[in-house]
Amino acid sequence: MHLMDILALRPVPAAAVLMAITRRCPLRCGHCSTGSLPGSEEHPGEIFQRFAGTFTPANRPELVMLTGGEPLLRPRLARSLAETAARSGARTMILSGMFFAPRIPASIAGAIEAADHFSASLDAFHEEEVPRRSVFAVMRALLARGKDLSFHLTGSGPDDPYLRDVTAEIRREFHDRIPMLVGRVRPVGRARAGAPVPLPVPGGGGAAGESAAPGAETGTAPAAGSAGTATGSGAATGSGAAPALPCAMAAWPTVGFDGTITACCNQDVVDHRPVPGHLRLGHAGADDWSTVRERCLTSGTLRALRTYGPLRLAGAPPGRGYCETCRELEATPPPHTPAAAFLERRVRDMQLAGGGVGFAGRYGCPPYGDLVSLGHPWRKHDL
Amino acid sequence: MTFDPLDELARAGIDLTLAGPEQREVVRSLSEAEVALLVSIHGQLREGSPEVEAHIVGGLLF
Repeated sequence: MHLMDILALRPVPAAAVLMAITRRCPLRCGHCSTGSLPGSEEHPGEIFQRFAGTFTPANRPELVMLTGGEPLLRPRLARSLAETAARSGARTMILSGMFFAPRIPASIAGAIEAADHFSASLDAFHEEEVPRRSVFAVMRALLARGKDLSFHLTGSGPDDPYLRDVTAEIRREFHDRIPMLVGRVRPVGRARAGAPVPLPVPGGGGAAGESAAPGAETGTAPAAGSAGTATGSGAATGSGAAPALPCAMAAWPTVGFDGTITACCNQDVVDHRPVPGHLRLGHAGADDWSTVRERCLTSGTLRALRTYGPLRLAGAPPGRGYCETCRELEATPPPHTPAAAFLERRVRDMQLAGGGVGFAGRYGCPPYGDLVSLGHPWRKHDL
Repeated sequence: MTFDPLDELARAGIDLTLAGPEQREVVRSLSEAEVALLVSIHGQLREGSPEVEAHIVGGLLF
């Protein structure tokens, strides 16, 4: 399963489920969004296993994404979840910081083998913990076995010299066979502790590149009036000048570390209790996939968030944070009229039309958006 | 000039040629504000402007 195929599913409600199977991680990366430590919270694997066991061939996600923390600290659970998912027809992707590199212990090899896609997280912070050459050694071995792979890279922004260097080296080293999703460091988790986030220089100390993008901390919205020109009341017809910015993140249910299932993977939503009512989809220890999927698809608020975004829905004042507005949302969703249904379909179709490259351009680091198509048979080779 | 949602959307590059009669009827019922909203979203998606604090579990962009 190629990264492009995974990203193309991103705007599709309930097309996938993220499972954060442990907050623990043996690495101590300075930017960690989950604030993970070796002794962080970890809940019984049965919670996740139970939920995966409710997938059926007729009602399942297309993709299960195992993440953490470091999901490969629980290799047997990861393998078991991948095998359970596969029995229903669902595919699995594992995202790892690769603490084990350059060796691949047998139990971890088994988990990776059971998954359909393996993604390595790499950035300047990770490289202080796990050398790049060690990560490359593992990826070379997996590539030789025919595994579908990707790199997930983060940097400070488009001009970050680290991103230029690492993307060029990966292209050379793997002959453009491994796609890359490039994102920007956001002030979440440990990265929030001190802003701006200083990026280490690979192979040395100190900071390099730019600080985190201005406005990223609060997800500051574009100036009012930059998008919506509508007048009247309600989300579709415009509440003041709050821009309509659809949220593609309110599409894939996320099973948090404790089994709570949320409608999006924003770290504050995943971490904080209680989860805002409109973003809580259930619990992996009590609900089945069918129920969670139904809630995700039919919630009027989630549908409106995916169509109009929280700023328009709340009639938010200029400068209000995007995700912050969503977490505090109390607005009533607009009535489900034929016109509203049409708008919902069109917005979803527009996002689908952008495909994996469109998603990477919107949510990642735009100059590198096209790298998600490396190794894909449909890739344009003149890029 | 009378407001025609189909014309407005086509001018903005929103292709509705595959829309059936029923869907076209719905489109004709859209208000100017609703059409403006769709056009603005279309423009933002084409520009690829990031707008969400994407991320996310494990420091990854999903």
